[in-house]
Amino acid sequence: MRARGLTVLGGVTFAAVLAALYMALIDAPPERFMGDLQRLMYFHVGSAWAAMLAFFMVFVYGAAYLFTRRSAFDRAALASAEVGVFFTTLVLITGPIWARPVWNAWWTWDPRLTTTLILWFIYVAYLLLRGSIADDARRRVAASIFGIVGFLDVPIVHFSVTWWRSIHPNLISGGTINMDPAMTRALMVNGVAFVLLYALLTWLRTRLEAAREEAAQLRHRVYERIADRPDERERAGRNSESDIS
Amino acid sequence: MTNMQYLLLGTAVVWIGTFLYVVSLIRRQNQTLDMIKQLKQSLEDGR
Repeated sequence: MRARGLTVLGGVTFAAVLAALYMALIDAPPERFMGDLQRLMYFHVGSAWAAMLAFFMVFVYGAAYLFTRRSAFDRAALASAEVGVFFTTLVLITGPIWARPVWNAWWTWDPRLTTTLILWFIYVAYLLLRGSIADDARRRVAASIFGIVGFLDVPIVHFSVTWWRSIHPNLISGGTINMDPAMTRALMVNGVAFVLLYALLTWLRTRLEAAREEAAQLRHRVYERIADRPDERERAGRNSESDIS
Repeated sequence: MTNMQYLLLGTAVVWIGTFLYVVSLIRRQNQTLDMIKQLKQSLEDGR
């Protein structure tokens, strides 16, 4: 049933990605001043929306884990964080590729750019933190708290263009999108495609984490068995000696 | 570089990057499933 669900989601996401590519590269009109380069915005903004959703879900799953202590929530939080870092990386690469010909600079310490870079560092630190605590229960609690606190940067990224003087384009102001309707349509299709992509990647990463946890438990049982039986311990020792020589 | 080349570069980064991430997730999943099979086998052999 789960495998079928994943296949369906994969198919729907693939179709949405094809539609997003068509809308961004062919259907949407070129921008008056930037020409075709502006088409990169559809992928850049789509990735940014998916990243924000991913970090919001880290916050939700973290809170759910702290309340219920169900490991499934922790696995989903980890998956969401990794996928969020992936999408933020795309944002931080496509942004400078767009900025170089438009601003004549790959990077400036603009509030939106700086807060997004900080966001990327926060969730890379989240992933590093998870790798640095061996005890399962402690790691899950620490990661959940970190994920909840780290989410504070997401609204700061969103409002950075209105709170401070910024040269970053502001697409949404006063609840409306300031673009031609054909461009808005292309942006919406890309938004849907990237959200579906987020769901698919998170599902695949959660499934991987569940398999890894099962492998770790089985490995633990194998080690316990080796420790309980002197003959196997001896054989394991001989194997490791021959590996060294 | 022309604007069109920047657009192609950005588009390639997004979609090749996404493809590689999906492939890496599927490969890691298959490797882990193989490991689970081997560990189960070794536990059964030891009985």
